[in-house]
Amino acid sequence: MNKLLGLLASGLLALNLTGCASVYVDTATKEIPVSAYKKPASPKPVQLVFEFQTKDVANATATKYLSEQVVDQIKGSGLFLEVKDAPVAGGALLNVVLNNVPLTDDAFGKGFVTGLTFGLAGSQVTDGYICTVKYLPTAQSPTISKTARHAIHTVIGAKEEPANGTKMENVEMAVRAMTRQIVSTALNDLSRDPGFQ
Amino acid sequence: MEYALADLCKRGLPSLPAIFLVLLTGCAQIPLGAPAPSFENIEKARASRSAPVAVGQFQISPGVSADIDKGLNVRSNTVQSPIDGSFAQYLRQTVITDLQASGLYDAASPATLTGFLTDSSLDVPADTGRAALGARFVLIRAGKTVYEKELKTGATWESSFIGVTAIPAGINQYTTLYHKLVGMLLDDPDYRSANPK
Repeated sequence: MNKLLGLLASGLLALNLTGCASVYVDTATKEIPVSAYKKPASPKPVQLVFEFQTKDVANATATKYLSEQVVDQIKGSGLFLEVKDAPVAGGALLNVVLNNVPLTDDAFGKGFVTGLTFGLAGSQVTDGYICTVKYLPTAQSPTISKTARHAIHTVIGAKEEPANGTKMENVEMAVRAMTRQIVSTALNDLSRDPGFQ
Repeated sequence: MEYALADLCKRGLPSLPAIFLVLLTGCAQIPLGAPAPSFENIEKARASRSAPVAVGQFQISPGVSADIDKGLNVRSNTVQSPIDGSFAQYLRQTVITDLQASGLYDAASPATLTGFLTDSSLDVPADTGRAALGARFVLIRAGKTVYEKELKTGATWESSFIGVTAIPAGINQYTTLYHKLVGMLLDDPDYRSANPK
């Protein structure tokens, strides 16, 4: 029915109910350029499995919505010789999970994202995102796991703007920018793991 | 930039406001998202040491109401399978998707896996949501049944009073059961021993 339905499970719903809102991508997690990755000397082919989750539950609609973007980003990372959706020679497997979790002031207290902005009482809803990348170089090797965090702020009505947010034209642009930035952060961490090289 | 629902239509997201009209008024037909491979099931398949199989017919189990194959009523909306309007076919496609991603699907295999949908339900009230899925799997090799077992799975979760939150969450919970059921099959020692590599 709709590409965005699966994404709109928590805070982002608010803007649709009110009909008037602004969307901001948090600035704490920035896109890391491909040139900054530590490239392996001999890139290997990899099988990629991507999944979007809402509160730890797989969200098939959102997975399909973002899958092509994530696949293209990983293909363009230069970290792998080839990226396929089927098993590859050598058995390397890459699992990318993007989990949309609700955030509260308590999450801020726990430092969900350093620099994350809260405090606009009654006017702001924040969606948190956790990207977990698991890489198995071979079927028998131990898993290398990296995690990155991000957030999208939705401000209802003509309220104060969040200090650490980049205003986006619409929800789709916000989700796509957040995805690009958080995946680049996790990939960069993966590229620097000794077990990946 | 602030925007309203009408603006979203102009920006190429025409179905977004439609969703909310539908969810507010009810009576929508909501398809499940297309099956995507499950990382957990790929890991289970790797550990199963089972042989590749062909996937034959999946259908509603004899004696079970055909209605459970066609749709689920969720707060006056109808959740449907995007594959031939049949949840049995959705299960078949989920099986194929996970087996292909695991290297365990072979259309030319002498062993053929078939399935019979025995249960499918989704209840999304304002307190505790419930979903259930069941199927009898049959593996036939050279005309002989080597495995036959009904597997069942289910989920309960805290369900929101608000439909626009509760309905997508319920659909995600229900959809996840398909991969859980396939995972149960791959985990079943009887299946593994009936279909050794």
